[in-house]
This record gives sequence, structure tokens and C-alpha cells, in this order.
Amino acid sequence: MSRRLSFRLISKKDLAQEEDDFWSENSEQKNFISMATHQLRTPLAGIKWTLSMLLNEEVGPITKDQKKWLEQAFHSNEKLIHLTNEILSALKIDGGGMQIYPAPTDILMLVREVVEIIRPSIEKKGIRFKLEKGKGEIRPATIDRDRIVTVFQNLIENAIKYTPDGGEIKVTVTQEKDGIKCAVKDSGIGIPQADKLNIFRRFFRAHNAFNYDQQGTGLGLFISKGIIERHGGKIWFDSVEGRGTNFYFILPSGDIIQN
Amino acid sequence: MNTEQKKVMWVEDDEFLSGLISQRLTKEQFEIFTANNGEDALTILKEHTPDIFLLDLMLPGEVDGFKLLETIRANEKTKDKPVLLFSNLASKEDMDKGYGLGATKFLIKSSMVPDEIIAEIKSALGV
Repeated sequence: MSRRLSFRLISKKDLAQEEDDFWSENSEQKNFISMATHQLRTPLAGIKWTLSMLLNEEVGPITKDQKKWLEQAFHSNEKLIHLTNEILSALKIDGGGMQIYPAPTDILMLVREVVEIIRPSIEKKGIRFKLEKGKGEIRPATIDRDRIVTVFQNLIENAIKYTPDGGEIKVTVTQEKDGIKCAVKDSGIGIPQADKLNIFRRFFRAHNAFNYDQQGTGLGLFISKGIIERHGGKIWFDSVEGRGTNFYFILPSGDIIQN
Repeated sequence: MNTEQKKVMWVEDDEFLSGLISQRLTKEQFEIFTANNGEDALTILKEHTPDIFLLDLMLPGEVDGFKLLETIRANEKTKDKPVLLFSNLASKEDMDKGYGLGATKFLIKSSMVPDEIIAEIKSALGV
């Protein structure tokens, strides 16, 4: 029996549409992925706890070399845990099930806290980091604190990843008429022109990103966009390849409509 | 105050996780009661009164972590004892439900290491 292979020309746009259709229609598959990801978390916690006990020499003394390898394993496991978090967040965004729990929040204070968490990565690369407040008083924003922390973490961590050693990152928070505008600017590798349309797509990674970070998931910006839009806000960017990228988002004033 | 007399109940269906923390708690001189499901936990509670409870939310069988928490809060002997709820996810719905039922604290397993769990137990017990 002969097999006939049929070909059809598929444009990038078709592929993107097919991918969107898959994620919006296949709730059974999504449930399966969600359950599988959820099930991964117990063994991941087990690995984390075991490695932590070994590293703390609770089971017996370890050599310098063993410590180095155990730390690598711990670090890899942390990445897996982070990946499961991202997959679950992305599935919630796709399914429209991301709940937002808004409360009045001091955005500047929130950014300072995020910066403290990731300061070691900033210092490791010798990056000059600035946090600036725009003109006027910043009013408390009614936001889901944890979700907006995720957005700032994603954007600033990306900026660090894709900015060469000794570069510059600046975060600006400005009170505007209709909301708070936040900007994360870096002097990094920038986004190639051909990739700009796809940068917020799930699992998408710009072509020049792999040289700087092989292990990124391509979910961070997709999740960030989902979170900002769930707040009724807007996220966008401008970028010149080789010179840097500026991400902006607006968190609108007023109450967020709950699902 | 030392931890020697303190009784900890750890209800967790994953035997590996349960074993890890039990071993760590034994080193800290706690007395430990472990159960792999809610029904076994209820049987233990008929004879013993732990000073603190560590409950996994998702348990096999009819009695999950929430139901256990309700039972603990409804019992005169245990109603004021600290209860730490453990979950795999920081679902706000679960957190709200847990705190609504009287949980002392809600903890995410994969966000913590054993030292931090021990510190939480000691802090909740005030030891």
C-alpha cells in the first residue's frame, strides 16, 4: 500500500492561529497538562528537601566538589519548580481562570522589594540599576500584589538576562491621569525586528535570546501580558536590536471588574 | 522551653515527604505522629492530642486537609492548637478557605526547605 503525503503551505500566521485554537479549544488537554504539572510538584518538593538536607550536611559531611554538584542540582530543581509555576499560570490565563485579588498597593514600595530579591543577579553582572519616580505623587494602585510582583520580576529578570555585563537598567514609575505607568528600560541586546510581532506569544523566544539564556521558557512575557490585561491595563515595548529594549505597562485607576 | 514534650502530627500522603520531615523532627526532639490519610489521622486523634498539626490539603479518601482542620477546630482539646496547612499550590481560593476554617498558616511545599518548615513549627509553638 502506498502512502500519499499531502502538503499544504502554512504561513506563520496560520500556525499562530492553529496554536491559539489549540490552547483555547482543547480544555481536556489543558486539564491533563494542568493535572500532570500539579502532580510534578510533590516529587519536586521531595527533591528540593532532600538536596537541602544533603547541602546542610544533615546526613553527613560533604566535600567541596560534592557541594558544588549538589548546588547545581538544587538550582536545576528550582528551575523546574519555576517552570511548573509558569505553566500553571499560563494555563490559567488561557482558560480565563486567572483570579485577581486587588487591594490598594504602594507600587514604588513593591518595586523596591522586587529589586531586593534580584539584587544579587544585578550585582553579579555589574549592571547599573536605577529606580526613578516620575513627577508628582504616586497614588496607591488597586492591584493584585502577587501578580504584579510576578510582572516586575519577569521584566526586570529579562532585562538582566539580556543586558551584557556592565550595562544599564532603569525602572520608572509615573502617575498619569488614568493610571500608573511603569517602564523597564535596558541597554541589552534588543529584540530583532522579525520577532517583534511574536514576543508576547506563549513559548516564543527571540532568535538572539538563546545566546544569552538557553533555559528560558518563553512564558514570562505571555504571563505578564495576561496579568496586566486582567487588571484592565496595557503592556507594550519598543526595542532596537543591539541597543536595548523598553517595556511599558499601565495599571489603570479604578476598580477591577471581577470574573 | 524545649521541644522534647511537644507532639507534632504530620498528615501527608507522600511517604517520601512524610519520612523526610519526620526524620528531621525527630532530630529536633519532637514527638511525631504521622498519618498518610485523613481517616488514619482521625483514629490517632482519638487517643492522642498533638500540640501542633501539619496537614496536607489533598489527601486520599473522604477526609482531606480541610475536613481534618474542621474536626480539629470543633474538638475542645484541639480547637486552639496551631494548624499549618501544606499545599502544592498557592491557590487563593484554598488559602481563603483554609484561613476561613481557622488555619494558623498556609505553606507551599515547593517554596520551602526543611529548615524553614522546622522554623515555622517552632514559631507557631512559641519554642
